Amino acid sequence: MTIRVGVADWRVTDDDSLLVTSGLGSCVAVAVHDADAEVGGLLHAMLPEADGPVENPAKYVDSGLDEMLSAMMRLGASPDNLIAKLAGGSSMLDLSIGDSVGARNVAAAERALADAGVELLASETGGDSGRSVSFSPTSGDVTIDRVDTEVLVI
Amino acid sequence: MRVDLDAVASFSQTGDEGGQRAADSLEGLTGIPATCELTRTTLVDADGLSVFLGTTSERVTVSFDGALAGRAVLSFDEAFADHVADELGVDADLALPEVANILTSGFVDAWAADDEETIDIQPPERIGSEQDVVQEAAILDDCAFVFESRVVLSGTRGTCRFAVLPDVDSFESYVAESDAEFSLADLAAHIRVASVSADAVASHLEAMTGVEATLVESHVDFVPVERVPSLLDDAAYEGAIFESEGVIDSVVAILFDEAESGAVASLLLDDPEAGSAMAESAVTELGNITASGFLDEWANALETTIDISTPSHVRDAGTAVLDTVAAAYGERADTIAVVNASIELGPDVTCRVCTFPSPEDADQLGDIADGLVDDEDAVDAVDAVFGDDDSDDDGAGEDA
Repeated sequence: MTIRVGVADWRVTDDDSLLVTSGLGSCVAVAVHDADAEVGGLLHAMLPEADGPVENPAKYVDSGLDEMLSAMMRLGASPDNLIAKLAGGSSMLDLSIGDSVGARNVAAAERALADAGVELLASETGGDSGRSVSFSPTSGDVTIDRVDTEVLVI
Repeated sequence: MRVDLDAVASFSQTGDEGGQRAADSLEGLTGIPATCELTRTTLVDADGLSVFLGTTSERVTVSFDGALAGRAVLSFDEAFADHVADELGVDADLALPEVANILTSGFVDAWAADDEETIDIQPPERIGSEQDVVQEAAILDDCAFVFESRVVLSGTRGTCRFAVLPDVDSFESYVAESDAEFSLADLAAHIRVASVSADAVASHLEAMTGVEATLVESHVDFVPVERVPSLLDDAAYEGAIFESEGVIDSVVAILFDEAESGAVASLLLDDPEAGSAMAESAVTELGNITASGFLDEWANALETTIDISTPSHVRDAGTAVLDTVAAAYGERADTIAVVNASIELGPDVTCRVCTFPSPEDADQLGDIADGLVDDEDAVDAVDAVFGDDDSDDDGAGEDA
C-alpha cells in the first residue's frame, strides 16, 4: 500500500507500505529506518526550528523529527538501530524573503539527527529543482524523482 | 475597508481541523486510510462558481442547520468512488451518500466545537445538475463563500472535494459571534481584486500571443501556509516568479500548464528551432508583461506605484514551486491570502496566476478593492457626461 505524507506531516509504518511525499521545494524529507524491526518513518517538514511549543510539530524539522521518532519507538523501533536519509532543501527561486530556508532546513535536519543519535547514511539536497520522494521501509531505499530528470535512488 | 485577515484565517484553521476530522472519521468508520490535503476559505467570483466546484459526475449534497447553516457539496473523482465502493462492498450509488454523511459529520463537528448550539445534518442527496448547486449557493455582491477541504485516499490518490457553501445570514451571524471586526460585505469586496486582475491577465496574454484567452475562473484563497502547495498539482509547470515591492509587497507566480512542453514558447517565437535559452526568455517576458499588467491595476487603485523584480524562470512541479513560496512566508504567518486566476490560452495552454501578498500587507487588498470601485465610479461619471460609446468597457483601466 502507498501511504501519502502531506506537507508538515509525518507517517510511520511497520509493514511493506511505501511512504510517499511530493512537492518538495525548499522543504526537506527525512526518512528514518530500523531495518531489524522493519519500522520506517517519513517526515516532510517546511521550516527549520520551532520557536517554542507549536500547534503542528511536523511543520518544523526539529519538533517533527522528535514526534516521528517517538511514534517509531511505539512501533518497536530501537534508538540504537536507526539510520536516516535526507532529501530536499532546494533553492529554486531567487526570493528576497525566506532567507535561504532550503539550506537552513538541511542544516536543521543534520543537526536534529545528530542530536537524536541517528546516523545520516545518505543525502541528496540543495540544487535548484523540486523533488518527489518515496521511501520503502522494507528495503530502506529512498527514490527521488524530479521533472525532466532521471530517477535517483539513495 | 480593512478586514482583519487573522479573523478570516481562523475560519481556515477551523476548516482545516474540520477537514482532518472528516478524514479521520472516514478512516475510523470504514478503515480506509485518508488525509486532508487542502483546506481553504475561498471567495469565488459568482460567475465562475460552477467551474470552481468542478464537473465530476459523482456528486452528493448534504444540508445542515444550527450553529452554522448551509450545504456541503461533495465531488468524488472516479478513483475515490471506485475504491470506497470496493472497500465497503457495495455499489458507488450506495457507498458515496454514506461516505458523504460521514465526512460532513466530521467536518461540522469542528465548526460546532466552540458553540453552544449544535449542527444538525440532513440526509445526503444526489445532485441532479450543476445549475442546482449554483442557484442555491449564497452569493453576496457577486461573491460566493466556499470552505473547501480536499480529502485524499492514501492508497489510490482518489480525491473528494468537500465544499461547504454557508448561508449568507448564518455565516454573517457566525462571523459576528466570532468577534471578527469586519462585515461580510467588506470581505466579499475582495473578489473584485481577483476579477479585475484576471481580466487584466487575460487581455495581456491575448495581446502578447495573438491567441484567444478565456477566463476560466478567479478567486481569493485564505489558506494555512502548509496547505499552499496543494493549490497546484504535481504536473510540470513552466513560467516565471516575481516579487513586487511598494505599498503592497507580494510574490507573483505566472505558471503555464502545457499540453506539450514548449507550447507557450511556440506561441511567441516564429522560429520553431529557437534554442531553449530563447524559449525560456520568451516565457519569462510573457510572465513579466502579464504580471505588470495586473499590478498596474493594483497600483492605480492605490494611487501609487508597485515595482517588480527581475523574474526567476521555473520549470518544475507546481506543488514544489508553491512549496518554496509557502516556506518563505512560513516563518511570518500561519495563514496567507492568495489571489488566483485561471485562464485558457487556446486549446493547449492554461495559465495559472497565484499572487501572494506579504502577510503584513495583505489587508491592503481591501483598499485595492475600494480603489477599483472608485475607478469604476470615475469612469461612470465621465460616461454620464460625455456618453459611453463602449458599453462593455468595465472602466478598470485596460491600458494601464
